[in-house]
Parts: sequence; C-alpha cells; structure tokens
Amino acid sequence: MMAYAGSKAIGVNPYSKNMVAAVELAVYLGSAEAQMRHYELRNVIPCNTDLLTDEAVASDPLVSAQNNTFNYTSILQPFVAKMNNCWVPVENMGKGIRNGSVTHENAGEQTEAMNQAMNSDGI
Amino acid sequence: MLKLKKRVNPFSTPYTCMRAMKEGGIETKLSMVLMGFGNFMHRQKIKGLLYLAVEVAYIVFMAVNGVGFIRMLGSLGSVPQKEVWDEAAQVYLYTKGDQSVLVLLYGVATVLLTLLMIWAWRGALKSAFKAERLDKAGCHVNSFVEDLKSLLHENLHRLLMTPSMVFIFALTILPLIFMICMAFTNYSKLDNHLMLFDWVGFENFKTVFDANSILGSTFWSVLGWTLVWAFFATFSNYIFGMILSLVINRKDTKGKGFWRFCFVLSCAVPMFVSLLIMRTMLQPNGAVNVLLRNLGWIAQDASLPFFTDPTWARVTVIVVNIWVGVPYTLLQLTGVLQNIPAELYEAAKVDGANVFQTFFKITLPYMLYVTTPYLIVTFTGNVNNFNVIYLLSGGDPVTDLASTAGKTDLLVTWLYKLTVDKQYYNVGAVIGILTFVILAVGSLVTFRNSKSYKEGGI
Repeated sequence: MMAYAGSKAIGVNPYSKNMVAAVELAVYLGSAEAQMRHYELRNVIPCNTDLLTDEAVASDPLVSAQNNTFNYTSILQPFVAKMNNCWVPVENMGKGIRNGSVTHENAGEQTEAMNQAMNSDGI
Repeated sequence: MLKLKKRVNPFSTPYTCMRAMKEGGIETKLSMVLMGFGNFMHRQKIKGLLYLAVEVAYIVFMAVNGVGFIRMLGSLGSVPQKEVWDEAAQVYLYTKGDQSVLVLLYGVATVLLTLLMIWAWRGALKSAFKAERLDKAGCHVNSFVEDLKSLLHENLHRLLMTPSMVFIFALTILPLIFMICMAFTNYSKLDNHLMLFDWVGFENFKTVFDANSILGSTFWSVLGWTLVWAFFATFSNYIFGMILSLVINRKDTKGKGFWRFCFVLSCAVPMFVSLLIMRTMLQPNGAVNVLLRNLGWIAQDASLPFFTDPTWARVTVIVVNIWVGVPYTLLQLTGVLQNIPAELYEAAKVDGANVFQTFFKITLPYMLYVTTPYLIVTFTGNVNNFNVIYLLSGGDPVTDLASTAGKTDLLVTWLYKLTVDKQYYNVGAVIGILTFVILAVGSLVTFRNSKSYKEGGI
C-alpha cells in the first residue's frame, strides 16, 4: 500500500469584487519567495522545486526525506468526491489489525472487503 | 374504535366567509378584489386602508420576486457556475449560478406566504361583511381606536397568540416543510448534487425500504436495534429504579435520605462528562482492562472487547445507561410509591399476603397505571437518545465496512453520520421522516390503548 501525497493550495473567492488583486495576492503567497520565508520562519518544507538549489534547503534531511517519500512511495491523492468513502474503511482496517481480528489467514479477504467498502458509497 | 361526533362550534358567529360571499352587498363583494373596500365604505377607514396596504404589499412582492420563485420550484435551478477568461485583466471571472437549496427555500417560503395571504383575505372579507351588517342595522361600528382597545379585552387571544404564531411559522413550520421537501430530491454529495439538485419523487424511500440495497439492509438492522435499545433502556431503568425505591421506602430502612442521596448522586455530574469518562475507561487499554490485567483475571495482552465486539458493545451501552438513568426513575417512582394509600397495605397484611403478593397485586398495578404516560414518553425519548450512543460508543463497532452505520447506531445517530459526515442530506431527511412516523404511530396507538387513557384518569 502506498501513501497519499498532497499539498496546500491557495484559493480565491470566485465572487470577489477585486478579482485581479485577489489573484495577484494568491500568486504572491504561493511564490518561491513566500515559501522560502515560510521555511526560514516556520520550518514549513517548501514544495517549489526551484528552491532545491538553495543550499540551506538542499542540506536539510527533513526536506530530502519528505521529497523522497513523495516521489517514490506515494501517489497523488485524487480530488474526486468519492475520496470521502475511503477513510472509514481504512481506519477500521487499522483497528482490526490492532485488536487482532485481522490475521495472516484472513488478511487477503479483509483487504478485499476493505477495497469493496472504499469503492461503495453506502447507498 | 373512534366514534365520529358532529362537532358543535362553541364560538359560532354569523359573519362567516361563505355568507359574506353569498349574502353580502356590493361593497362586500368588491372587497373580494379590493381588500378593505367594504370596511372603508362603512366607517372603518383606517382598518380598510390597512387591509389595502397588506394586499398591495403582497401583490408587489409576488410581481417582483414571488412568481419567479414559484416558477423555479419545478426545476430547482439549472444554471451552473460559469468560468469566463477575461483577456484584459488576465484572470478568470465567475458568474453566479443557481443554488438549488436557496431556490427550494424561497419557493417554499413564497407558498407559505401565499397561504397566509389567503387567510388574511378571508379575514378581510368577514370583517367587511360584519361592518356592512352592523352599519345597515344601525348598530355601533367599532372605530380603529376601539378595535385596538378590544385587543386587550375580548380579542386578547389575538394579541397574545400572534407573536408566538409568527415565530412558530417562521422557525418551526417553514424549516420542517423545507426539510421534508429535501427527502424527495437528490441533494447529496453523491454525483456532485450539492449545488444543483432535482426532484426524484419517492426514489429515496424505495431505496431505504429495499432490503437488497446497502442502504435498505442498514436501515432495517438499525431500526431493529433502535427498538430493542429503547425497550431495554426504558425498562431496565424502570425496574432498577423501582427496586431501589421500594427498598429505600420500606418502613425498616434507616437513613432514607442518605441512601437516596447516594443513588441520585450520579445525576449530579453532567451526563456527557460521565459518558465520555466511561468511554475512556472501557477502551482496550483503558482503566478497566488494565485493572483486570493487573489482577490477573485476563491475559497480559488481551482486553475485554467492550466496544469492539457487537454484542458486548450493545450490552455495555445498555448497562452504562442504567447507571446514568436510574436517578431519574428513582425520584419519579419514589413520588408515586409514597402516594399509594397505606390502607391497601394494611388490608393486605391483615389478609396474610406475603411480600411478593403485595408487590404484584397492589404496588405494581398502581405504579404501571400512574406511570404509563411517563413510560411512553421515556420510550420515545430513548428511541431518539443521541447522547448516550454517540458519546459512549460512537456507533462502533463498524463490522460491515460498506454500510454507513455501526452496530450500536440508532436511527438518530445514523442520521447524524449521514448528514454531517457524509453529506447525504436527502437520505438524512428520509430517515428523519421515517423516525417521526414510527414514533408518532407507536405513541398514539400505545397511549390510546392504555388503561389510563381509556378510564379518563389522565
């Protein structure tokens, strides 16, 4: 099983009266300069790949760990509404593993059941 | 069986709407079109102008907004939000689309306003007829100031009932009809119907009753557990409360006040605090399991499945509910017990009855007779007992991963999960309607068949 990868997004209210200014602000808040400041002041790992050339960012082990996880062991989390259905079956699978109701023998069928539950909408 | 009796109206008045339309003069008949005309012609000028103002306000509202709202009610809006690229400003601009929720709300509100207007129209007609009759007979016709004064005397009911009726209409009836209408649409997160949805008729109800769909099988099992839970919760509290009140109330018991204080103490702590603490204590690594492990009664890595095994979880919630609910039944039944006439007990002792016979032949029938309405109300309350189930087990355990409900979920906690967690608002509305129907039918049938109602004691 792979992890889900995602990131923050900065959005604009579609009914804003000053659309141009709002979009410019959003662009600035997501820019490389703002991400660098976030990294220095709050230790938030930047997602802008241009910043990887900066030596402070490149030498940080946290940054390389997170980027490796992102690149090699996760898939991008889908944006569809059906993603809502996947969390409860995953949580219950975790609870089942922990309290021993999921064993080596029934792991296969339990995973199948979880897959079926994740893809059903409960109706 | 119900006997139909012809209802005699104790407040009958000769100024009814039908008579106004048939026997009224030309001014009254014109009042049907121009509200307040009859009043105006018969020396009630201010009242006539007020009625006219109401009619004008309604017509203006309908012409500007109302007709549009009612017309959109059929399609519930169809224009989605549009995105337009503005070349000059180099940004995307958005046009506001329709929001079906608001369309439904405004449509329902306009329909209700129209019903209110019809009621006001009838009132205007009756008032014009009365003014015409009184004027033609030469009797005194109330001026506006006298009408206002009569609001404090014979028309006091109109003055006092109007504000509460306004609030009930706006805050209870309108939301109720609005949410009932939601049950006939497809307003849910499925298929992206949160902004724009349509009428689907009885399709949601069919899915809920169909035992082959996931929703249907969930519904029937949740309904079964809800009824079982309500029965056991009500009667376990009742029986334990009765036993405790009997034991404390015996003549030979010393320190009655102290014992009552002990057993009522558990309602001094707010219920949700007790339930959350109980929940934490009964977790697989909570206080109870750790204690049992230290005592050696269970293995070192085992834990009693209080909330992880379905049957254990169901028994646990019933037992914890006893601890939370016994104080209330204890107090209630103590009051009833102390009202049983002592002569009955003395007569029984003279006749040589033992404790059990006294209990089953005197105490129990009397208590059941007096507390039947209380039991029905408690049963109804337990069907909707959200706090205990949600705070104690949260509906766990979830054994059927595809369904939206757990094994200890009641109809009302399932409704919460459907609407707040999953945003299936239409299904939630259907479950709400069905809960109400079940409770209403059950309560009415039980109450009407109970001895207390039949003998007119209550």
